[in-house]
Amino acid sequence: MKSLSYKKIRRWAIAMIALGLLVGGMGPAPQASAATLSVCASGCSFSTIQTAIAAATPQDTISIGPGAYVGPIVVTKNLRLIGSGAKLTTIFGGVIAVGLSNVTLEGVTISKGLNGLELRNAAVVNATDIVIAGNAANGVALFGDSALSLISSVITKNGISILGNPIGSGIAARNSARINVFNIVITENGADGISLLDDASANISLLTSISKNGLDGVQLGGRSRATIDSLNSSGNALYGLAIEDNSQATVSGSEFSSNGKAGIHIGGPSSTLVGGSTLTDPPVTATATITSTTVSGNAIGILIGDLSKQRESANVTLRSVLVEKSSVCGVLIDPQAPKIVTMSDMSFSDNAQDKCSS
Amino acid sequence: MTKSNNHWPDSSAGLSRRSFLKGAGAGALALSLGPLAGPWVQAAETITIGMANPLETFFGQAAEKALLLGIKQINASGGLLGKNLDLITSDTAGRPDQALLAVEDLANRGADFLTGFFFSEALIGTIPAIPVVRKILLDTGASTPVLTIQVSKDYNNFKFFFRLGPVNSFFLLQLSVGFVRDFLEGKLGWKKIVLLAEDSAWTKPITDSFQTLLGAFGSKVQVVDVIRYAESTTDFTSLFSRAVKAGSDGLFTIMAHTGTRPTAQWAAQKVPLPLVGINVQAQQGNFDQLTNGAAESVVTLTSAARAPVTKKTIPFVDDFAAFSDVFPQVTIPSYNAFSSYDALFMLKEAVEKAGTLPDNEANTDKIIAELEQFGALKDGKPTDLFVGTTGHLGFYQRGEIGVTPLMPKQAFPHDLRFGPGLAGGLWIQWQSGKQQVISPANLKTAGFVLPPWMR
Repeated sequence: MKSLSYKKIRRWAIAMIALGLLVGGMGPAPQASAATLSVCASGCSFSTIQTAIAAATPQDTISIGPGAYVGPIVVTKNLRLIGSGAKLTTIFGGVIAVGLSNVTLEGVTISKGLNGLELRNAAVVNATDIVIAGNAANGVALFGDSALSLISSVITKNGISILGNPIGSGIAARNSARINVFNIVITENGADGISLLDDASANISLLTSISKNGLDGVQLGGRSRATIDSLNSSGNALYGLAIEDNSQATVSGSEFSSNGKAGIHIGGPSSTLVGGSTLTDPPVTATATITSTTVSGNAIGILIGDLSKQRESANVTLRSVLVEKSSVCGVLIDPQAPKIVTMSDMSFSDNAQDKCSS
Repeated sequence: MTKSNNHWPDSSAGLSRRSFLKGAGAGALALSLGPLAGPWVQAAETITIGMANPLETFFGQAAEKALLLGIKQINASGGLLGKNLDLITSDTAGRPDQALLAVEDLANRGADFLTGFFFSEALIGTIPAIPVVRKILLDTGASTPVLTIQVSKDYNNFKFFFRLGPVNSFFLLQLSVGFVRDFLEGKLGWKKIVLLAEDSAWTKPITDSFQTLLGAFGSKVQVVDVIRYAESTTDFTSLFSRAVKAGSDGLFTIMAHTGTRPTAQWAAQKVPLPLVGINVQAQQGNFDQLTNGAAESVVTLTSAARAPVTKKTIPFVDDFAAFSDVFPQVTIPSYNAFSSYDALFMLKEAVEKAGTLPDNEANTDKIIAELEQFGALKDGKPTDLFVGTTGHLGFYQRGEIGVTPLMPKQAFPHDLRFGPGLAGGLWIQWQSGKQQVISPANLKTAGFVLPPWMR
């Protein structure tokens, strides 16, 4: 994979945000009349973040000094929350953005919440240089029509296991939520790295790394959609990328390696509706276009279908994809349901079998 | 730490549930959100029921249909405290992680009460959210005892949870053992069975203790093999061969999520063993079509059927079949549809007795107190039972132990009472394309038949 310097990445991402091409309605820019309210353990106007938020007016900046602060912090207005750096400023108990709030969040660690960062309703959050770690459920949870832009941040070790059931993803979005992640590390979370359900959507790009999560690296279910560029998804327990139900993905310039079941899975159920569990709705079709991508060192490189159900269809285009070192099969197509698979300029290397059908 | 139903496992991701609750202070976490963003935000005009289920399954659709039918009936008769009811839904996808999100989603969207859940694993996934959203949650489909054990251990944070059905896994085991003793052994003369169980959270207490409880119940039936299979199993041929070689009189199934495929293969292979037990998929009206005609002679436990279990049962089944506002293809209520309907009307009664909606925790507690009155012990006997479609319903109380010989020192507060005169279920068998009741005797509509290839 090609590499970009951090400065270039950051400059590009910020430029994108400034152009308003990403999330609808970006973070509040400081205005001439905006005030800065300082929060710190002693010697500042405020000793808690929540009281500073209560006193702030829209467009103000909350400057958070080094130290640990108890949440959950609830934000209901347009504010900038600027920490002293993720190594110095920690918020315990989570940050919740609600309603029509438009929040900029920088330089903090968020830990020990139910969800680390939670967006409800139509909240918009632009977060940069943050760490979200050690929350009970999800690192980030998005509901409603909320939108998140996340740059140069780490989401790790969120979620718990209860009686062997993994709970909590790095980022989980449902309803109509939207996420844009750039240059992010998402690793060692209990369930998926990124999970989308319903009509949620995502742009995942710029050397984002998703690894060692308890289920899938990226999981698309429902009618969700994702555009993925320059992603490295590796070492996840199930799939590097799972495109299931009626979801759609466009993938380019990415790498999927050493995932437990398959590098990429297209066309199965996102749910645990196993064993022919009585679905009464019409068959569904997952759709994927994958180009200029490497799939390496997985049990199955690309799995199309799920080998057990008959209702899951898929429409797949593979172009300039290298599939290598698959211990079971490079591209495995389950023939039980209609599959439209177009392959061109493919490369296969060192697979147990290059192409198979169950 | 031992992995069992009354212990928490160690965290696999660096943070255990215990340390989360201790560190974050779940109750305080919720209450500190304040009136704007806290759990008590609610719609002013309607009372919102939030249902979390695997929405794409028959069971999710049957539960939704039952709730919508009940809501329509309640609204037509004046609503609840002068307000109409409304239903919102959220998909659990049968997954614990998505179930947790579904609970949060419903709470965020203003649900006043929560209901649903089909997979026990999904219900277990809601545990971190229950102390935070602090909404009354009525389980209508999952049988794991983990949640009611949690109520006994941490009442303040889990008092919101009640199970309307089915009875928990321990009582499902007792029901099953009673059926083996009284019917399979007593009436059919069976001496040996093989347990065929999906490898799932709810089946473990059953397979672990089946043989022991048979003996304790005075049965001489032997469990000659226990076959636990992965839910992803696609070919049951070798498992059926194993069961036949074991020399049993029949296969006793313990399956909720996976019954369609094994049943279809059992019939296709003409396995010379009757298929009886818990086979939740066989509750579906179109089970015969789903199994390519394999339903004949399959027996399953269910919560109710079109039989005079109570005065409410047959009218509900008929109303359900006639209700075509949603899912017209779903014509026979599943066990969780019965329970969902009962949950709605029990909730209505409790709210009316409390005279308040759950607009703050004090008022929520008043409704919880009224729910706890259903089945409250007086002179050692449960009283004030709610008459539902599945029978007479009440809940175990706090500190009430000795309710099952399988965990004699464990209390299961807010779990559905089990015993004589209470809701417990009945056994149905597919015969000529119809579900017939074969047990208990007072509700029996037909006798037992063997599979066609064994007649």
